[in-house]
Amino acid sequence: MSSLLQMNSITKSYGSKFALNDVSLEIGPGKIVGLLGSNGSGKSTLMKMVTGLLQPTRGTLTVTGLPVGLKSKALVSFMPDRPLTESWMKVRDAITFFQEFYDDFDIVKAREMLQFMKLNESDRVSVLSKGMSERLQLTLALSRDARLYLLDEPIGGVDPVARGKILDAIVEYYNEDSSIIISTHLVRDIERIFDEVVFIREGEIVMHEEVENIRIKYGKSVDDMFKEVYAE
Amino acid sequence: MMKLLKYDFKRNSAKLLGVAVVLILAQLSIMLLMNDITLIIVITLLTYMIAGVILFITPIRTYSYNLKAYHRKLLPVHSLKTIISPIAMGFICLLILGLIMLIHGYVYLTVYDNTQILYIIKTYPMDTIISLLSACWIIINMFITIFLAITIATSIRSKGSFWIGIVVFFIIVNGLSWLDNLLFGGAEWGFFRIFADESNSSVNGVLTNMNSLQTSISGGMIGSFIFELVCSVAFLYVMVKLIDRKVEA
Repeated sequence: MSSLLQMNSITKSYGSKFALNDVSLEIGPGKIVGLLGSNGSGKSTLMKMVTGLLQPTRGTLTVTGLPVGLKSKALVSFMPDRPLTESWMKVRDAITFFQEFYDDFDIVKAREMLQFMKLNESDRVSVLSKGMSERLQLTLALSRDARLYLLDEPIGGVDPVARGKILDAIVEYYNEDSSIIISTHLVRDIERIFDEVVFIREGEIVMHEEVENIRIKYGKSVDDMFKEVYAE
Repeated sequence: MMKLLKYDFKRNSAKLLGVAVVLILAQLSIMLLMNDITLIIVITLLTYMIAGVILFITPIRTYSYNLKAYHRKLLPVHSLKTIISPIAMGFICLLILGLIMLIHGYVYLTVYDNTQILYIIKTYPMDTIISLLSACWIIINMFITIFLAITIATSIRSKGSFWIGIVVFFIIVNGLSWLDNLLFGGAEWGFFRIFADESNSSVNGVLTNMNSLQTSISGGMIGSFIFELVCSVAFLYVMVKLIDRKVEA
């Protein structure tokens, strides 16, 4: 089975500080992967590197065998930690923007998701609450039929009701032939949807396991394992 | 590219519309409230100049924003289009402003019966056309040079990168000017030679004798233009490479 994402000895440094240090990672298709780590552990940096927003200092990175660049951008759907919209936009404009630039954008799925998320097309993006804005960003990211989805803290800063709604949407709307990587430090709320987890600490991967193996091998939930790994 | 251009226009639509409205109101006020012709000319030119500066700065800010904006960086579009789009936006805006100025100028010249300038234009049609084309090229060339400085500054992740960009801009402008002088003797293209031609004579500002001159295109001017064109293409290439490999959001 060929891998969707292949990272070989990726290092990202800013002067003497390492954001990622010699990270190697391989993700196959059809997986929901949790990228877990405390704040500043390198989760966002890793995701931004896969999407081409950041360049690695060393190492190689491919998506479906393609180096990160113009072609890989068409295959990767990213929900970053800041909005993918502009302040002048209405929800409708944001949808049109994505539809115009991404060939794989599914407008039917987008409309369905908007309804599911209780978002109105006529709402102004600038007046949406944080929770509603995150729902919109998720709608935009998941409405594409991408090969790899990257969701950076999709439930960070939203209330428990919204969290449940967002997680349900992820499971229901992501393309099952693809893989999805979700970064978070709110492990308990989200661990139920993971197939695999990657623990990252101070820019280094400390564990990459299937969730089932963690339960069988260590007799622990992902949340318990997370607390153990990140205990100070 | 047209899609990017559309969204660049949409983002700046409020500002562009604002400039247009203020310009119209200012011109109407000048027309209705002022009597002194010298003052009318000065204030009119000043309002056009202010509008021009705003329209010149807008694409620069747009490009700078686009370089860092996630939703633009993530798009599967060639980096060259990211550069061309704000240049096209700025050029179109300034072109429209220029056309409005020309129409306004023509109306003014007709109303006030100032035939001197019209006479110059009619006598030197080629120079007029070359001057207008020259102005268009200067705008595009200036945008490319400024964008290069911004791209270089953005690709440097350190304190003071803004100042590095400014220094780079002045080095490029002065370096090119020096090279241009060295290679082509400072040939400028598209200026009305009438202003420099001492054989013309005038009384009270009205031309009484004007010597027939051939068009001002010379080998040096064409060489200078080709030199600038080659430099601009090279700058675009450098920018594309920097955006793809060095500029981080």
